[in-house]
Amino acid sequence: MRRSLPFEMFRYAMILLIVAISLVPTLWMLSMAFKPIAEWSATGPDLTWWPQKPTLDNFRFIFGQSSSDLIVSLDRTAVRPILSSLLSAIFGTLIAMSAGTAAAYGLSRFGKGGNLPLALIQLRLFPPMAVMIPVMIMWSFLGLIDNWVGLSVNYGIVTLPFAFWLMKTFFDDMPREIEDAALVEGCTRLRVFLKITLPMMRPALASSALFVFILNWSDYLIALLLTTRSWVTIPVYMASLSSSMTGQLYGAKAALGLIAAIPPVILGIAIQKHLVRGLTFGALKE
Amino acid sequence: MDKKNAVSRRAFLSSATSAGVVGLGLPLYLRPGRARAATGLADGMIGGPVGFDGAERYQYGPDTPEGRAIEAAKALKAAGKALERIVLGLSDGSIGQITQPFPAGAPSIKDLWEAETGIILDIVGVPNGQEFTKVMQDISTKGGAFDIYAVEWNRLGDLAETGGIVNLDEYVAAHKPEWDDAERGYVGGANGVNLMNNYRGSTYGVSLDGDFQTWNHRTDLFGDPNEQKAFADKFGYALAPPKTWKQHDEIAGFFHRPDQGLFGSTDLRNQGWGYTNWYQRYVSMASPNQFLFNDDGTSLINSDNGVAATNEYIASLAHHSPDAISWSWPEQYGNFAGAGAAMTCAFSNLPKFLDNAGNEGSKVTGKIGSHLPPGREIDGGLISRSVLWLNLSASVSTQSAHPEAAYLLLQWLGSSRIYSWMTANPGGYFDPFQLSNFADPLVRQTYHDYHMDVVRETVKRTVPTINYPGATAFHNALDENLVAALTKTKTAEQAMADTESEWKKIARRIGEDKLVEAIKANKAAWPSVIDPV
Repeated sequence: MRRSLPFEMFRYAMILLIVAISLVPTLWMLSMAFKPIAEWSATGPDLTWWPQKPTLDNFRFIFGQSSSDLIVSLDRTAVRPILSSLLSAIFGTLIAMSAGTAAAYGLSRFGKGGNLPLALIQLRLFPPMAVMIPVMIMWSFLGLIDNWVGLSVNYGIVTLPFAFWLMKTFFDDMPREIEDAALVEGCTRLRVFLKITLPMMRPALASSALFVFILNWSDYLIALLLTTRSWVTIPVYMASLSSSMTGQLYGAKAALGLIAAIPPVILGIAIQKHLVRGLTFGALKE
Repeated sequence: MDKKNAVSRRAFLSSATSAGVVGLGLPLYLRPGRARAATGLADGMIGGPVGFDGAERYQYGPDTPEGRAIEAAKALKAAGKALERIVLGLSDGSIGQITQPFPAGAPSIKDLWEAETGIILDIVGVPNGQEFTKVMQDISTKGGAFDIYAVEWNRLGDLAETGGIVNLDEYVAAHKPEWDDAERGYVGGANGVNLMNNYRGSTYGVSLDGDFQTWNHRTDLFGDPNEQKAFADKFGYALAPPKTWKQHDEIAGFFHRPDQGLFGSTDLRNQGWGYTNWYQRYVSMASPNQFLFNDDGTSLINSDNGVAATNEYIASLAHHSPDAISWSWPEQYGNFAGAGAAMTCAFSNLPKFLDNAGNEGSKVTGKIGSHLPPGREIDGGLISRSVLWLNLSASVSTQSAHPEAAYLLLQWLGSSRIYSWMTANPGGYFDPFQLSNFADPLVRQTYHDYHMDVVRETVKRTVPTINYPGATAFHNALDENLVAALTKTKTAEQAMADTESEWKKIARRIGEDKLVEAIKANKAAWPSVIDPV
């Protein structure tokens, strides 16, 4: 299809504008992470896009090398929260994806499970916060408060509906004939699932896992309620980065935000080749 | 004579002399006073910090609240009735005052407690603003994560009603904290203690803070001859820290130059904080005070005074940051440190942090002044009022295995000697509130002389916020309606009418009899100071 030159120019201008607007927060965070304290809250002519005196002090600060012993809020470094976020998000994603994939396959192929889809979607009919008090009581009884295992299990449960429904859509769209052919050749059902279905579902698994991981990785409220000290996650730790000396520790928050952006970006790049395929999987019906 | 047992005359004399010196000298050397001197404590003292000039001011004898607390904690521990470890949940920003040694050469508060009692003090940081959430979480889930909670002062009623905190009357009677001491204790004596530590006549908390909202201004701007001339030319009176709300609004408007990165006045307007400014405007509407409720529990805010205060509050946005409704204190402190405002109203610790040579990021070091809250001229007198808001107060959890030991830590921490030493430490948010704090040289050095006197006078003009049962609900209703008025989704009249309506429902839910009793106790602590015009 041929388009007129003015239309193409307009189209690209709009694309550039939207990309620029979308990138502003990220670029601002990148810039702030390297700004010294004097530039954090500059106003008027002192406000610049890029750091005038770039520094790594913000990164040193969150890892415990404070340049001023009067910054009052930092009584723990970012190391443990990063570890906590990694463990809880990874294992939460594994739980959600394992259970969600198995349940979706069963339902898609055998029609078994009765009210399972409805039961699972119920978990998303109300905000997770609505059930946090009973969850906290149960978790407390089980000794899972302030514990990455407890957090992972909760993340797994909360994101299970996403994993289930995404995977079910993908399974529904996968031709059954391929599995039937393998069964006719003598493959067991389990072998078909492990050796044929799952490898074919790699794009779907990748895109679903990334989505679920980002949900777990960026959670604040559940982590705030289920952790107290040892296993607070990055978002909870970030909320404590303020001080009476300077107000919000914008530089330290930006530095931590930059670090927090790394795992999803790496994960995204690692599964990039599957991602586009996963996102368009089943888009065209035969 | 048996040669084996023979002793020479020289040896006998030498041994006898040595024995005499040791026999006579040892008791002298081991006398209790000398033993104390060896530890650095002054005569008669049994504990306290050593190692820095003036440390003796914070040392204590056996017949002091601190001494009794330490001795009792040691006795409990010896009898196996104390915890090995006391867990204190505390705002992140306050921990430094307990864990960082101050001044140079001193131990930390935590180290001193542990050395004197043998009981470990374990402090768990709680994100600022999440204190009440964490406490309610621990109470409702029976988590038992803390022995001591530290939450906003006016939550005591709500917490006591949950049964999650211990009634401390028995321990107060046994260990005599002397909070109402006329020379060293709380401002207002027994009334002050009743206000800050008690709920319905019983002790449920120990105050660890002095959040009397205090006004600050920039001396470089107010002292600038060019600014003074321009202001006098425009308004016809001399530029000086405002005494009335009218002057405050004019001065704030005069300095409001957002194009130059300068706002007129940045007292807070966000949800959860903004009503501290509304309170100051509202309660100074009548002499000696414009109360929130009548003695019979009828709300008074849906009135001409309530509407006028709200309209004033809304209009004051004109000399604030365009982001005022989303600013909390960290933005406020950051802005003021960057010389971004002419005036502000904040915790009394603002000069401690921002007028501080150690704060390399502050552009206002040496440029901060303090003044009394603006007021109103009524019947020939000036009604100037501030407000007590946030103010961390510590309570003992009913889930603590040994609540008495936890209380003893609070008696020790909240006593006038240890608290003065602690509040002088620039490592956290605990602010002065006891008479001994305001006079203490180390506190005055950290907080600055110019500021301490103003804070002491502000305390005398401070009204308490709502601390009745349902305080959280009452404040939320007021807060939500004030934010609605600020964002122009309601008029001032609607906001006050809706608040009154919600307050009536809350009062019915709580029980009006219980409320009336608490309102009377709260009103007894309201100030009566009227300044000359």
